[in-house]
Amino acid sequence: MELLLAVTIGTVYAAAFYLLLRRGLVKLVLGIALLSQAVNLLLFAAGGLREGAVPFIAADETTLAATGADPLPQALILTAIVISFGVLAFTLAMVHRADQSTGTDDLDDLKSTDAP
Amino acid sequence: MGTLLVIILGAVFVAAALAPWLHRLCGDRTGLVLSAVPLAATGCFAAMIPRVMAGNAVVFHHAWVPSLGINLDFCVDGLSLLFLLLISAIGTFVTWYAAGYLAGKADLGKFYLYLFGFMGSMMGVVSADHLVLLFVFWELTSLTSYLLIGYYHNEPRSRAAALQALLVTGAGGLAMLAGIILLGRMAGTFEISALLRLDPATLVSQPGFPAILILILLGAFTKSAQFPFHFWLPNAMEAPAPVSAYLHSATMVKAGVFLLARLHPLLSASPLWLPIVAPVGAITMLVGALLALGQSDLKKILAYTTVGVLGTLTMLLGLGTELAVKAAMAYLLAHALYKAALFMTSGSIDHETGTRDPEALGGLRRAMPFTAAAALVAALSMAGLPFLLGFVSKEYFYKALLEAEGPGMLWEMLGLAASVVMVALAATAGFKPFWGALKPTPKPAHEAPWLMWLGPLLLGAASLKTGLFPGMVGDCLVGPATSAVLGGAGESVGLKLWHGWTAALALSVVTLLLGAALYGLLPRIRAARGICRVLGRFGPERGFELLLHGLLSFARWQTHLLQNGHLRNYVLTTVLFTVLLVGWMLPGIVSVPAWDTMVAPHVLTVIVCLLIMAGSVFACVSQSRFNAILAMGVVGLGVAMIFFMFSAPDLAMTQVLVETLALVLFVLAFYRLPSFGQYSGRAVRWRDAALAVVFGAVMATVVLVVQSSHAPDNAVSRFMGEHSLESANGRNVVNVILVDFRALDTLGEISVLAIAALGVFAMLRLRPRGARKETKP
Amino acid sequence: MNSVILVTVSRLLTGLLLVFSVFLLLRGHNLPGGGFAGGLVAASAFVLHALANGFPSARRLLGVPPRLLIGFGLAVAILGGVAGMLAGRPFLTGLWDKTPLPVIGKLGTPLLFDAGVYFTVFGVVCLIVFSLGEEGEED
Repeated sequence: MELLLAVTIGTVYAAAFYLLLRRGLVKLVLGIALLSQAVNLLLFAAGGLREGAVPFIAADETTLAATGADPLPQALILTAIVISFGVLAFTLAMVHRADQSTGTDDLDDLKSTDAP
Repeated sequence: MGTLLVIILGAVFVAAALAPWLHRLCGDRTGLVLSAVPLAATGCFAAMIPRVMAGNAVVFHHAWVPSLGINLDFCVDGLSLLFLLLISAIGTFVTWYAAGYLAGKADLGKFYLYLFGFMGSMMGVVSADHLVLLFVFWELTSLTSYLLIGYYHNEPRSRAAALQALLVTGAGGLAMLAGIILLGRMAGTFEISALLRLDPATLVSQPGFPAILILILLGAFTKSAQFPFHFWLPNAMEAPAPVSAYLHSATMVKAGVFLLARLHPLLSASPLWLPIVAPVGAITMLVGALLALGQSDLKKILAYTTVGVLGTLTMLLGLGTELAVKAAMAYLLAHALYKAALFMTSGSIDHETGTRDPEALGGLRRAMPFTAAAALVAALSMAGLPFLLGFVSKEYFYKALLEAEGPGMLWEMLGLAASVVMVALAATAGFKPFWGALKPTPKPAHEAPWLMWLGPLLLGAASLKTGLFPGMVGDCLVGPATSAVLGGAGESVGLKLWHGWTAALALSVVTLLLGAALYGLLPRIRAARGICRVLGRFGPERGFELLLHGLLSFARWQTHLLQNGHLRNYVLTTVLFTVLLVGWMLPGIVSVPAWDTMVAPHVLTVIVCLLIMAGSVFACVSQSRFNAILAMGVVGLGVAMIFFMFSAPDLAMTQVLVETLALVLFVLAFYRLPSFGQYSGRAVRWRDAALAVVFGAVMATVVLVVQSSHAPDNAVSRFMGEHSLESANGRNVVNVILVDFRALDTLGEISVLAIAALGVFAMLRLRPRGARKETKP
Repeated sequence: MNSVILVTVSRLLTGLLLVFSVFLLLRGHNLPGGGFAGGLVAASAFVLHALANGFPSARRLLGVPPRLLIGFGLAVAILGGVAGMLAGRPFLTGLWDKTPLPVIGKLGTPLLFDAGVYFTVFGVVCLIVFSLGEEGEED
């Protein structure tokens, strides 16, 4: 299972990196979105994978069971998910504006702040 | 009384902050209203005189950053009081003057904001009893000076002069900061009065002391425009006349001199003090006097003579005898009184006639009687005629030089030469424009408003009164100041007008005669003005420009090298370095878990993982935007499944919601997004694919390693698990972490989200009128 | 997107989703849910309504500009933190009322903070989706 997950995460990283290297703006956006998925998965895997051990304190207990999943990475990832949504929206708006005012989506045409 | 001092300081800054608002309320009368503050301050400082004369300093102490030993310490002794009185009294006159000079200007409120900000900072510099506090105020004077020099900010010359002044004094200030910190660490205290109580001999003999001395001197020399840093001061004459009168003659440029005087008991114990400070002062004195001769602009003439006087003061402090220090204090007071007046009168001439060229001016005394009277008194004091303070100070100046040890008559000759030039230029600035035949000027000459001549006249009266009865000012101000500079060693003996038939008197008479002769020759000397221009071209200013230019080209070159605007190059560099570093580290520190220790995955897990991988790869190779976006959705939902299967229901729920909303976003933006162009060639794509595979392989190894090396019993997580219910009353530990244990992080995160949303809103909805119509060409 | 099915379904679902979002927020301290999830669900309700009936209608239904929701949310979250300070404890320290209530559990300032998160996320998503959706519509 560890190997399967490692290969999966590696593939997502590779795909994100490939998309980040493209010149088209839309592919760049997709790359950023994929990259945040990969990072979230990496964090999740680093926290240790447990099946059927939700990080909630059971009704008759006062502390979290030692066999429960680690709650800390989950809290980190939860905010990361929502933040990546904000980032995605921001990049989409920016790409749209850049396309609208420059008329190009080729990053090579966009490498200086002066109007082309 | 210490509290009173802090209240005054606070009042000046409050006045500064209120100035723009007040200007909207009172218009041109703002200056009059605001001048109540420095006027009251003058009264309060005058009330401190008896106490300071008795040798009791006014002190105030308040811990500011106790952990760093930084305190709000203030201490007013004789030296501080002399400066405080100059700052507040001349500040009052300058405020009046500015009210007339800048009447009707729309941004007068801003001007007073800067001016009073400067006034408060300058008061802070001279009354601070803590080196760090002094430095903070010192930098504040540089900043406000920058804003004031650049007041006419539409003029490129103003901006350039302001920047130059800021850079030169700022660089010096930086050196000074280093010196201050080294000194404070060496001495174990930053409190100035405590520093001066230490035995200077033990401090001076420490190996690092020469460095400290030079660093602090750099700060003082740049601020007080000593050679070779003198060039910023004449350029600063781009500022309006009230600023030149206040900052660049009477107060700010004397901050360097003040620092030398303040730390004199300590620094002058060093054997390097005399050979550095006195020659630098002497050279500055001569350079200022010589360059002043070549100028054809009243303000520039006054500026270069100010450079000369600052050199004189530095030289006297460098000599450091009791007589020399007393001469320096008397000279400082005399100069502040006459030079501020002359700057104001020359500003009035410019304001009312439209020119500042002394050759083009003459006979203005009928049109501008009050200005003429003020200018005449000031010029006589500058020339050093009897019954004016300038005369008294020059007597002490010569006495100090006669007493000083040096090769032959060197000091006397240097002093004489500079004084002769002062006499001739005093006549040019205060006499020539008003006497002789009336010359036509660009604007028909008329008297300036009373606001603009009252201050110079009062300053002239002060020169006269202190010149006639020097004993009193000697007892009240110069004596205590001298004794403070000498560390309490000097007796506070008053000044005298008449010393009998001495060599100093003879030198004074010779100075006046030679000065009158030089004044006659001036037109011919001005003809050789080219020399000045050549000097200017090869002088230190040129060096400064070359340095600045070089720095900018270097910055441009390395920016071009490192930031070439290709995003993928940055990504590539970052990732390749990561791969190299991680790939190099990994084999050494960890071992990949053995095959047989791994748990066999569930069928469902395999299916989900395959979906994620397929989605990722498909997003890369797809030719259609729509399909790529759908593939992204598949990846996102797959990740949600992973979260769900491995005990993270909160994550799974959030992920599903976010993926849904993201899909909505993509669909909404779909028709407005650019097409899915293929820009790179086949070879580049294959290269990138190969790199991506390598990167993916490294990351996969990292995942394997972190999974096997995960410590199941993590102390932080355990703490949260144990305390979640007990102290935060929540069974969902993830949520408790978010809203309680790490709530500050969450607050930061929702703020980031809010900013991102406002950014989207601003980009899409708030646009300059008409810009929304633009379409793709 | 003027599908009859969508319009009908949205009429039913918008209200339900809103109620569900508040439910998620309130039970989040003990069971899956919380401010982030609740805010997302609440925003989804309005996004659904906008997709079915158009953005102007969704804005009317919402009543307040999304920007105000964001500001309100941040203010509530900060208030939840300041409450601890008023009691002489450090910023963001939780204060609790000890009597438990059904569904919610005990009441405390962290719940106020979570409500702040809820409104911020709600406003953020609405602002983003509305801005992007209305882009170029009126001209």
